[in-house]
Amino acid sequence: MNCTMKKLARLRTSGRSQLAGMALCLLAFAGFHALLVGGLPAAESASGSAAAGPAKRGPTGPTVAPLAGEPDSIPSRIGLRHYLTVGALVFGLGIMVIVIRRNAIAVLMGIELLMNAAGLNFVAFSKFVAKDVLDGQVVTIFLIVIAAAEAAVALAITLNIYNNLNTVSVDEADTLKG
Amino acid sequence: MLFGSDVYSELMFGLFAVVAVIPCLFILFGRDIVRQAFWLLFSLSGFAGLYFCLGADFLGFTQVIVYIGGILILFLFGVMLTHRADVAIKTQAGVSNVGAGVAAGTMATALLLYTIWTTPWKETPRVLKETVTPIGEKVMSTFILPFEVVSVLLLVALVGSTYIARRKGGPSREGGSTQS
Repeated sequence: MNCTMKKLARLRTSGRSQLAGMALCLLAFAGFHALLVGGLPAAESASGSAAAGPAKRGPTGPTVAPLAGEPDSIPSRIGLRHYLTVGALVFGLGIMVIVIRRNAIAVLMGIELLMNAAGLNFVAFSKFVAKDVLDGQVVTIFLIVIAAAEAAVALAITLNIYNNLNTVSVDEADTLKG
Repeated sequence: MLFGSDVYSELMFGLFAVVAVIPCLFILFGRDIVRQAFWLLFSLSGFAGLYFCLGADFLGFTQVIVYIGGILILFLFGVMLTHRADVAIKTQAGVSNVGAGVAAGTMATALLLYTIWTTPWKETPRVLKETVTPIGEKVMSTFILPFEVVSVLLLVALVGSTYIARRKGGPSREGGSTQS
């Protein structure tokens, strides 16, 4: 009886936390969009002199940044800075995950987040500033391959540590030779 | 171009940015390692969507196939193989060095954001209509050396991880007679 009550309580709290998560996502989305439509002040001040800064919204619609290639692609107000901001946020959170979490697999997740942020930066730079559009994409494909290899080797090491030391905590696995 | 319209593409960017960033918080604060793995799934999907928004369709699909279909399953296998029934998950997935981690992450993010928003980038956005053929040509011409190196690296990683993760039980285990 007590056990089921505990289980129910845990279920309810987990449902509440998921609801809170969804609300947080919605709030972040709304805030981000409001920020975007209102215009970020740093973008306006920084791109005042640049010829092809992030396009600002005017009364006649968004001003168009010069396009080199396709005439049918409409540029949006989303510029390089926004993608780099996403990359920076994920990078910082990945660093926090790596340093804070103790489970080795969670640390690996943090490393994957770092690599994803780097790949996003590569693709964004190759789209917005690089000479060749595809160089960053090819580098990111190599990065994904390297991430796969790294994940395989790191998980093998984690399994080996678990078999030898019976733990996956990176704080306890501190002997060089188990 | 998948997201051609202006407002639509902005909405899509916002959606995918939120989907990419918010699950990282849950990975950071979560207690259950399996749930963290599934939050990582959302984050990687958000990154795939951002690749689509950037006009890198092949890269987006590669992200879905390799990361979500491969690496995440690898993580889940790792979680299952290292799960201890006698130790509670909460203590398995504990935290330490909170102050150092928060300081390092916050400072790195602040530095990056300051640099990003104060540098006057000369932006000339370009997109290609299709990227698969040019990427294949690039990989086979300009990037042929990294391609070969990466293939050798992948082979080495496969063999090495199999070697590292093998069971060193010896004759006491069931398959021990075949080893001798």
